[in-house]
Amino acid sequence: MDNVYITIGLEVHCQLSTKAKMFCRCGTDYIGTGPNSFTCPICLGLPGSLPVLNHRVLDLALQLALALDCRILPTVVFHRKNYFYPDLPKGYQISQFDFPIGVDGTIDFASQGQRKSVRVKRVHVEEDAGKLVHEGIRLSPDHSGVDFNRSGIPLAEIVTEPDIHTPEEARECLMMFRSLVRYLGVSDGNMEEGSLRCDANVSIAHNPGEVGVKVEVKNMNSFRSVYRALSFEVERQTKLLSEQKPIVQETRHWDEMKHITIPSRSKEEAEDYRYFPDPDLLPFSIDEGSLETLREKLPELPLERKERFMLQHELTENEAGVLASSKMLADFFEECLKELNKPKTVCNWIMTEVLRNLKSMKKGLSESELTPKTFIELLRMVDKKEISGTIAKSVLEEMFASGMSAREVIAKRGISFLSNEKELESIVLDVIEKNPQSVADYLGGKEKAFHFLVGQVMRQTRGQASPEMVKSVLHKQLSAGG
Amino acid sequence: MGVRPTYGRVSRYGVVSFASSLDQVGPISRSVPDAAVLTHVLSGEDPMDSTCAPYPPFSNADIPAPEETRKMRIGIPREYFSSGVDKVIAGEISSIVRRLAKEGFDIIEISLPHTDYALEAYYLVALAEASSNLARFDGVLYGKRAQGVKTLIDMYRRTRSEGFGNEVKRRIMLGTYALSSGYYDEFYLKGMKVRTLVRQDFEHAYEQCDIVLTPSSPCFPFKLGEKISDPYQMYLTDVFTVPSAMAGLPSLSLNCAYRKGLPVGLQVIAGPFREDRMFGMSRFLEDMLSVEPPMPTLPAGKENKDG
Ligand SMILES: [Zn+2]
Repeated sequence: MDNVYITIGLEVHCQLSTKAKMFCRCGTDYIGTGPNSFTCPICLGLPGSLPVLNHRVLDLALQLALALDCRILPTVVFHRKNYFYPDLPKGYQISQFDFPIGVDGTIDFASQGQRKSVRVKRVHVEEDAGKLVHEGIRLSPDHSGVDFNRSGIPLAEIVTEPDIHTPEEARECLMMFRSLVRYLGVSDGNMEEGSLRCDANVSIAHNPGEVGVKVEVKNMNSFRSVYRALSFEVERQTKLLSEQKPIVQETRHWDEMKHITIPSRSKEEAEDYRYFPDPDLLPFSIDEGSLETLREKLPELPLERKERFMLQHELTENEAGVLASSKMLADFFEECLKELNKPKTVCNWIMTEVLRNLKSMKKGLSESELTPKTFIELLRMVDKKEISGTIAKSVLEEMFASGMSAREVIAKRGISFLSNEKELESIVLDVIEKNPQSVADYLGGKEKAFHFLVGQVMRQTRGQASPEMVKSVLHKQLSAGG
Repeated sequence: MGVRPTYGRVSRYGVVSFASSLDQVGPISRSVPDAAVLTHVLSGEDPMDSTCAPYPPFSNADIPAPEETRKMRIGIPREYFSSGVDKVIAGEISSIVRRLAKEGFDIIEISLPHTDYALEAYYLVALAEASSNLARFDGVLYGKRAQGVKTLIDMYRRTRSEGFGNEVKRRIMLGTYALSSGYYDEFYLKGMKVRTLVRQDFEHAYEQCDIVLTPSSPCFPFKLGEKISDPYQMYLTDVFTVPSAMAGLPSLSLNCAYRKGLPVGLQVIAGPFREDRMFGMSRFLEDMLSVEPPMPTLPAGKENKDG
């Protein structure tokens, strides 16, 4: 098989986090409510209604465009994109055409230890359409329902140049994009809930710089399906190319169940959207002053922060990458450092224990009650050797479960861990002294003898000590004694 | 008489849009003072309409008194008196202009050079916008839906075929064509450029005069359905009211004379948001002319088949 060169471009839609819709005052928090409960004459496109721009949409989109290092156009113009579909109540979508929010940006991300840069062609805003409902409605089977709760929700569309060359890079680029919108707070970037959506153009060719036939892939609803769908598509096209069969320019859908892409059923005759400036909305000028204010308010972005963590706190690329990927986590880390300036220790505890606990509880950091203060209180006790690391781990577990502070957990257990540990040590020494044969067996390599000794200690403590702790103290004493 | 206020003077919220950049709500009334009162009530800022100007409502108190009105310089655009205009109409308007001169008004001959292009440009822009505005009448959410349809396309096609009249369908098709890719630059965009030129014509004119007087129509009113087979001839009768609409200017049309029972319309056009001048001039004309409308002789009713 000859080498093939892969070219991928992404088209990403993300829901902008506004309280109200883009052109009316309906709320956006419709999840969990019935169909069409968040609608009004404007987002239903009733005759006589008119759109009025929610300016928050522009602010968020400008922040995003600035963070992507776009050139901001001085005038924002909304265009009508005309087409018929039942989820589009006006018969046109208010979108942007030749005057988007921003053009010529870049998105930078790390791929296998290297900094990659993908050019961003444009960032524009548009309103979302409604949703067709085929199931669970009390209509005859040849009918569909339409839910307009999503109609008029603000979206930002980001189109990249075809600068991506592997499915893995596409996934990494998208993950960086999500990280970015979350850092900025402009979108919650949730792919599963549809607030972040991704389509891709894929083409392959025999020679670098040559671009093959473009195939558009849609319906990729997770980072994993982006990777899988693009990998499938590359493989499919490579096979066609090697068999010298034609690659058809078309739109294909990723089938999540079958793990294949299939041609879209809808006949994709080149649609003419008859774009023209929406006469219901006046063009907006973006003044340099408010742009400067937005620029100053931009937070440190994920890639910069990762690189700073590596330099300033001497973290590894992996450590810095994990911490900086989420603003919440990175902020937590840096808040902790203000209390206890031991970056490596704090980082290790977060990377292992905090993330493990969060994962097992299926929670985010924001949903847990752990704060930098309560967390550092615990780490400080370890640092001063008031408690062992082993105990601290079990205390942390209970802190997550109960929301209590480290001291509260210790007080509740009714024993001072420190004296308990000292006490345990004396019990362990006692057991070692009384069971020389088992000690000798253990040192001779019999693992069973160790379990016997643990059992003896547990009996003497009447089950009060944790097995973990007993094992660790016993280990320590046996290796010291031996 | 009928009034079209400045574009942006009256909110369009609640008005079914035909051509969004041209639509403007205005009163039809028996007298100038009635029209002014209604305009006062209708006008003012509306947060529900982005194209509605953030100005306080027009007020009757702003209308100049006759002595003040007499100081206005009247512009007469030569393009509105060309060979295409009915001679009787041109004659009536000219005699009124002579009377105004005797009343002490400054009469200035002006030129609005792009008048000839305004009509075509108006129809391109208006029909393009209409084709998009009327897309929502698709049978899905609002209004009529054709019965017994098999597919989605079938539903759209039959609902719109059955629901719209011939003239509306003609306009949707022309407007769709004007926006189509490959024709956008040639039609819609060119229409918008002409619109800018027409607006500039008026801007230059108002450097020389305060108010513009023209005939409202180049011909006498035709009978209902008379030009139905020749829509272009029908559109041509709009030739004198379209330029001021394109420029978004306030204008008022009043009946200044009657010939064989048919009215001659006189159009009073003011600068943007100068409804005060428009009403001042119109009231002066109404008082000066004191036209008594003849009682119409009503023919037997005949239904309009083209609605
Ligand atoms: Zn709404």
